[in-house]
Amino acid sequence: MPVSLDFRPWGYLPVDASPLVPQGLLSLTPGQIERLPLHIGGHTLPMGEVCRAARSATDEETVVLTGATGNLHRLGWGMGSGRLVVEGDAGRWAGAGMQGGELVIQGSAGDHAGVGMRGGVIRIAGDAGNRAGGRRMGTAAAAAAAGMQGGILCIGGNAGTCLGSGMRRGLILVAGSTGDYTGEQMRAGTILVAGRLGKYAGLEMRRGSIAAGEAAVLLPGFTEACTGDFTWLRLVLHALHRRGVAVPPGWIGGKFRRYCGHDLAGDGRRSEMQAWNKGEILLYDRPE
Amino acid sequence: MQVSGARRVSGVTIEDTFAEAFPMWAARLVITAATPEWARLAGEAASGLATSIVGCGCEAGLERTLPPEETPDGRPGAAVLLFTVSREALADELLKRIGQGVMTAPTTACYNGLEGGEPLLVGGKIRYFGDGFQASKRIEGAQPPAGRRFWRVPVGDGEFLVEESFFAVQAVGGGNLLILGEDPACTLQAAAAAAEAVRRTPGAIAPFPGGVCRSPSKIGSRYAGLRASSNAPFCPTLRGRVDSRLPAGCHCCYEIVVDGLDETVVARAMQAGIRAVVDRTGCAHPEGGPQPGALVITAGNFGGKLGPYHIHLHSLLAGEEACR
Repeated sequence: MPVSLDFRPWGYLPVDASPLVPQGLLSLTPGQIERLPLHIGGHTLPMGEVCRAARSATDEETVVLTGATGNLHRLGWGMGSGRLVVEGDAGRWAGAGMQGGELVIQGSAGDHAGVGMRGGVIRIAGDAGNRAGGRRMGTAAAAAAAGMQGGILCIGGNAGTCLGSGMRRGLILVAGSTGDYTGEQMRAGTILVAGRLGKYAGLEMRRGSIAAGEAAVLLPGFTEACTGDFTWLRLVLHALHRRGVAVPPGWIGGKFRRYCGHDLAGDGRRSEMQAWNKGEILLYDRPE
Repeated sequence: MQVSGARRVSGVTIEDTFAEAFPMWAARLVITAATPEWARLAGEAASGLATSIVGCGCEAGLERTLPPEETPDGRPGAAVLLFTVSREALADELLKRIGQGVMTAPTTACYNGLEGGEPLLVGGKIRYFGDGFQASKRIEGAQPPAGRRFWRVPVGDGEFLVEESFFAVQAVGGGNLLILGEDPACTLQAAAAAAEAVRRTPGAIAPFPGGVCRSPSKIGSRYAGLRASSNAPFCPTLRGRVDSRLPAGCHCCYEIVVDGLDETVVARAMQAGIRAVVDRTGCAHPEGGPQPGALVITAGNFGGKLGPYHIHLHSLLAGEEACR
């Protein structure tokens, strides 16, 4: 039976919403849910202080959050199964470390959405902040860690900077445009941007693919290789299309200009602003 | 030669006997290309010279063409089935045939076409043709083809996309029909009709040229080292010298070998073949009037001592798919 949590406005204090995952809530009664502890600002309060829980009679493994959701951070943190629907905006770290299930955000999400996710699907109807699908920053160990490892992140609007930073696999689909440093230090995975790529896309990229509708400018390490219809991209787009995910119009069977990254210095050393080896950027070649 | 228990359907005698079939290993390739023609040509190349495991390493054939909506990448395609006696032989044949017959064909990609089975590393070996410039892609998600890995090998017209692993399943091979007739041309037409019906059965192939074999064989030979030799009792020129299995009036014998993904598929294909012959009235008899072209349909077996699958012709007639 789905669980619904209706949050009332409580001010500006951030809420650590990481306990609000389907596998932790679906077996509880509304009373038990409202007694769960939540970290709000520097305090720990029972959840019932900020929300009202209810259950409905339909047979779904779904948790629905309504009301003042914009200050709920770490939604879907490490989620493994089930469905979490946010009928509004979400705060930072939505879906971070997710391993399975589906997180649906019907508004926009803050920074770090899908950071380090390993599986499952995140659908954000609006915009995503910076570092979506990327990796954590702030400590040396975190900076060295890979970004998104798997799963699918769909963003219906625009994405901020450093989308897919350090990505190691997984798929990101952006219906709008992205900020700068998209795919920086990517190791593997696929980023599809229907709109425009920001500057410095693919910086220090090692492998992986970025496909976009257009780009204002590409780093000098990317060389135009050819124009063609790439079968691997067809395969990915078809798989998305069959799942009911909207793919950019014209892309299935469309032609793309392929830009390959290479070692500019030719000596294997990394340097600033340098593209790297097997990474690629595909730009949609719009028909006349 | 009279066979007790035989039944006649539309003037064709169906002997009360069974085909003896054997366990094999099978894989299915899904080949896509820019056009249906190139997919078909690649499928024919991949399944070429694969009439018999006796001398070809595998038995293979084009199962069917695929419309774009049935392929992983939405392009026109063709499905090819391969059958071998062992998993190891199957892995070798897949590597050889995809590498030489599919990758070389313009615009193609090659995918595993079975939903389950034992994985064989194939694309994961072909990738080395890329000489270090190959790249992989993994499909994300929970539904097929999610979780599967593909290799992109740089080639002259872009990239050859091939799936890393192909599934092998236990299958059945050696189902057979022997079509016996008076006039060779009419008997051949009947056999061709039966072969066509077999080849239209999903999951089945008839691996000989056009599906019809003009040289039925038996295991062993008087010559040391020969694994098979001509099945003398079915050779019309040897009537009188051997104990012939050709009934009076039969001067010709064609064999249709049937391989399928399981015994039910083989039985269904044989049933379709029989039906295609007895329903046929396309051959003009020299003395006037149309005839099916065949006089007798029988099957080959080893007394039931070798193969575990026994597909009885009369049971097929009755609409059952009876196997031992």
